[in-house]
Amino acid sequence: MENEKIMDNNHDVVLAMENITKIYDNGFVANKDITLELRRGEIHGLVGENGAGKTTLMKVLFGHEQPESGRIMLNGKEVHIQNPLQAIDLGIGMVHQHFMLVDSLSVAENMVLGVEPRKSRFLFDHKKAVELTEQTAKKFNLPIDPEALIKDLSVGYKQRVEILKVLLRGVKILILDEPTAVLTPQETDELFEQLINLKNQGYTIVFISHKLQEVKQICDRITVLRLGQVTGTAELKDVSIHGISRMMVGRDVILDIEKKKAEPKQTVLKVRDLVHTNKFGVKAIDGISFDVRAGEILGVAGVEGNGQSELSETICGLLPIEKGTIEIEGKSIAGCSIDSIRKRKVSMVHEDRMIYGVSSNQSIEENMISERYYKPEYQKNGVQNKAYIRDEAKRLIKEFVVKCDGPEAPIKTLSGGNVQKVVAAREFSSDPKLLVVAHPTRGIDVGATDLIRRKIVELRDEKDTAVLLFSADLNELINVSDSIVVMFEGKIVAYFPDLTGITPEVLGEYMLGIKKQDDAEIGGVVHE
Amino acid sequence: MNKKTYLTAEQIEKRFSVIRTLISVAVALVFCFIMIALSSENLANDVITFITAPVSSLSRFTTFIIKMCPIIFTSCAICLLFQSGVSNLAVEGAFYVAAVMAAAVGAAQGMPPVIHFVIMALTGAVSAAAVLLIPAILQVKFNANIVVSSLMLNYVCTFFANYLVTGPFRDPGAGYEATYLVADSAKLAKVSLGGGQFHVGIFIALAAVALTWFILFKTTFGYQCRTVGANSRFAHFSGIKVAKVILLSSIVAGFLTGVGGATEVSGYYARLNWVASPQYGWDGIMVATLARNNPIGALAASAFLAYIRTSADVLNITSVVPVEIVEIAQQVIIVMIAARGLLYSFEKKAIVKNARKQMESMENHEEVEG
Amino acid sequence: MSIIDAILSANFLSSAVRMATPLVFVAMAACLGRKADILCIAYEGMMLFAALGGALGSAFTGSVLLGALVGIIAGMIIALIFAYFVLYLDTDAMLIGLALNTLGSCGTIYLMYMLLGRKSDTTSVTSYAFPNIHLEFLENVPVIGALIGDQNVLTYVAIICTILVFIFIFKTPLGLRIRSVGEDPSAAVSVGINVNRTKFIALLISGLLASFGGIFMSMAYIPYFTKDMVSGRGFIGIAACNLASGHPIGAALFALVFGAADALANIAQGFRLPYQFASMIPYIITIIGLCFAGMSGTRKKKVKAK
Repeated sequence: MENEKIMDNNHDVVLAMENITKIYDNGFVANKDITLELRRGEIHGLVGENGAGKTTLMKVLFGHEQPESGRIMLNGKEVHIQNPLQAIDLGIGMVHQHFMLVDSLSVAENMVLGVEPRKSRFLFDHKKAVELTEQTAKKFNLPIDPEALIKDLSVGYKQRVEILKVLLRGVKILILDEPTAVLTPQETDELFEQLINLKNQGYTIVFISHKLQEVKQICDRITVLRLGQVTGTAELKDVSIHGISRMMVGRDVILDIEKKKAEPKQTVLKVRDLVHTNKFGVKAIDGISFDVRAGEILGVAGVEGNGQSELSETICGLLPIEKGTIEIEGKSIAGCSIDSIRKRKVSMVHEDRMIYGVSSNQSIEENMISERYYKPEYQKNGVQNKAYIRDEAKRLIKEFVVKCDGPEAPIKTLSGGNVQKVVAAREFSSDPKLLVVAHPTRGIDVGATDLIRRKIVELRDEKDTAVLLFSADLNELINVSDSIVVMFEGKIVAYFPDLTGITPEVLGEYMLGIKKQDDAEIGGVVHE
Repeated sequence: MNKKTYLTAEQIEKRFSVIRTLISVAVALVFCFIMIALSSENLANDVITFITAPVSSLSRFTTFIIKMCPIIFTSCAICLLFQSGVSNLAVEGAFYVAAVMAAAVGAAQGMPPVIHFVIMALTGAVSAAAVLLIPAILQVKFNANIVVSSLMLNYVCTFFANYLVTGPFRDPGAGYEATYLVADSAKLAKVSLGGGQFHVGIFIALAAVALTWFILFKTTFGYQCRTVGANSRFAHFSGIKVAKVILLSSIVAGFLTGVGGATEVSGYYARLNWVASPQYGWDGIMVATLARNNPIGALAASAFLAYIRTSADVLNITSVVPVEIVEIAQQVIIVMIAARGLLYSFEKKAIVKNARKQMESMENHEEVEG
Repeated sequence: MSIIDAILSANFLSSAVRMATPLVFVAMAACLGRKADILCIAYEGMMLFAALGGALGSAFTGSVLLGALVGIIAGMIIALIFAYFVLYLDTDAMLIGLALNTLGSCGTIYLMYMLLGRKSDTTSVTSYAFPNIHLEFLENVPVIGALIGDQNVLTYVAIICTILVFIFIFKTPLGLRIRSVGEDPSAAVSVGINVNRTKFIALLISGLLASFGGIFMSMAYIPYFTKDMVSGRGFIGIAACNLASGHPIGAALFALVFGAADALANIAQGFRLPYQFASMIPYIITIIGLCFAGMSGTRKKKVKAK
């Protein structure tokens, strides 16, 4: 479906973002020539994967970011939104995914923050604040206890406060960023009732989500983003979930890696019935079992937030094992420190490379030895072998084509792709038996991406490494992996031992919870 | 094609760091001169005295060397701690306690000469390490804020050491509150220079600098420390045991501090009469900040501090200018160096301008070559 | 007289409240700073300058109130320097706090020397002090009478300040904003509050309170300034605040406990307990309190949203 510019003569367009382009400081093009039209009194879904550009577009609308080009038209007149306060004044309000509420204050206090009612000039009119809260709650039929403290509220109620907060300030356009990400099904239903109510009162709602069933349930129209561009705009009644999913993940598989067929050997990583409950009390990992064998790359597909981060961090030792077992080469890692896990020849690439992957102020060579500095070649009797460290660093810099001013250059002088190459150089060069790698090519240039992917395959072929690859890039998964599991809501819902004929489209349907394999098929990923 | 080498952003940052250090020291010295002018009855004389006092006579030069000694030890300890990201400020109290303990051991009679001092030094080292371990353990086990707990501990140490000096360790035979005489066998050798003498503790201090530098930049332990200080989550994820680093760095810093305390007592004092802390811990923090936590730089900065301290002492005798002017200048230096935002807009403009010039020249080269 | 009798005597209770007064002021200051999420350890410096300002100011103007005003302004200048450097020049709060404290010590000695020619105290000039007040109606009331029946004006001011600070933090719009910028700056920004400006105001008020603690030392506790007369009271006030997790009323109560420890140190010598050990008590209690605070903090982190 092409991107059609709809000249809206019949419909009341309340807000139009026209040809918005946003490029970040590091050159990353987050939004490319995006046009979004909102009609009055509709619920408009903004759909796309992580990194598609939805959040950036809304940041532009809400005044957190300024676009390089494009304009915003409100009720037919051009407006410039420099900061959130201006956005609110213009009637645009945002309900953030991470709540902007002060925990120790009450609902009423959070509601009136910044516009506090006063009695006798110095004192806070608590009664008035409570009144205003109750009035707003009643007006929009969103009952809430004004005196309750935020920290005592459930997530669903916190969200309600966020919504009431913007409604109190008189906004007419509400942006909800992944509102159901932290809600239970019942809370979701309640939310949807409230949204339809608001819609019927003439409010316009932007519903950002990647949960397609919900989008289908509640939205009137949707705009789909992919890789920073609009891939389609449609009325929900005209399009199926499959159609949306296709627009989201794209249908082409880009074949760019020449790869031998895998010859998997013995099991290296064994995960059984793993459970992890997160800080919200939700089961991020809900009973997962799988094996990864030597000489095999197992890809993990899934929309972010379905348990992948928790899974990779538990295997690496950052999170403790709550329930279930994890064994590496037959020995459990329960209670093991990261140090002892790494000593079992496990290498780890965390998705957050600037926090866990490198230390910006240290040099490249210092970063390259952070997990091996104690080994006999690198030191003798506690004294570092600087010459060897320097030579190793030079060798790895050459092998991984790191563009830098030399091994002594600090990491912060490198571009994102080169930083990741340093991480890869370190983690891939220790002959690992197991490599856990999360989002290795996120936000980096094509050259670095290509090199890292080829290096992963090289590890599989030359060192018989078992690789567990987490990625949001479906092309990467299909290309690099030998087999793929799909995670949805903390469980494995699909296992594809053979990737012939598997397209992002197919994966997408499992990732979005539209389809689920039967237990026998999923059980295929357990080899012992 | 003539290739112009452009500065990297990192080099610009380093230059601005040097500029900020020089400006901070310059501003502090200007403060000194203004304060001298306010009190002085003979400005020209006083300024000259201030600038040249430590090198104006051998005797004064030896004073300068003696003053440098304890500051070198504490600043090395702080360098190690701050490089590891451990803000354990108990060095101040640890030095005092260590000195008192060392003085007590030093008063023992009938010990063989050099060994006696070694035992003094060990006593000091263990005492100071014990003190510094307390906030470190509390941080690791209970997540107690190490800054506040170490500051509180300083007060506890001061009261405790004061109690020892005025109580159990007090020599009733002395006319004032002080410990027993330090035995000759415990005293450090002295070197005579012209009219004055300094003790060989300065060489022990130099050894401490070399040792600290070696530990920090040449050993695996030092590498662990610096990595934890640079990014503790990265260190943890790489398998480095962060808790171990916090504890060990506090212990090693304790050894440095304690040996410094013992050296000071043995070298300079007949008996220890400190009823209050000599503040060398705070001096160490200022020196380490000025030296950006590098031990070699700390040596130079300690010399600088000792120099202006000596000048102020001499000035105090030869004129009416009070010694506090140097302490005030010290605080000015700390504040100005700690202010990362100082000159920040200039620094940013320089980096942007440099980057733009680089971009333009690359475009020009492309045009020519294309 | 046994030590228990001594503690329960009217003298001791009155003494405890008197010694607690400067601690209460600083504890209030620290509570404000903590609500704004700033680790300010510069109170020693503020108090020293305020104390000197009060003593010299009253001596040179001949008026208690004008002297107090000078002292307060002096203390607030230190607070201003701290606030500006930390909020607008990205300065490490710990280092500048330490520097300002040390500056308080040597700076006041220097000023005394420059203005009076002496480094030890200001007794060469006559300073004026705040008077004591005797509340007759409390004369025969059992415990309360001993506690607050006969105290300096500034002690009553301290009690009033505690209530005022409580009202300020919990019942005024500005207090609400300070709590929000301290707890969740992004929430405050999202409703248009200027985080730095709010924190700046909080620090200035904090400095005002600490300065009161300073002028108490030189205009009530004793009627002149001696060098280093604050001796760590700035930190004990911070300790009281930490133990109460930043709640003003709780902090004032802990300050009272520490005041009692101070009074205990004074009478301890009569009972052959070295006064140094009594003096250590507030600091040791703080360290223990920090452990508890640290442990509950780690528990909270596991529940708070990322």
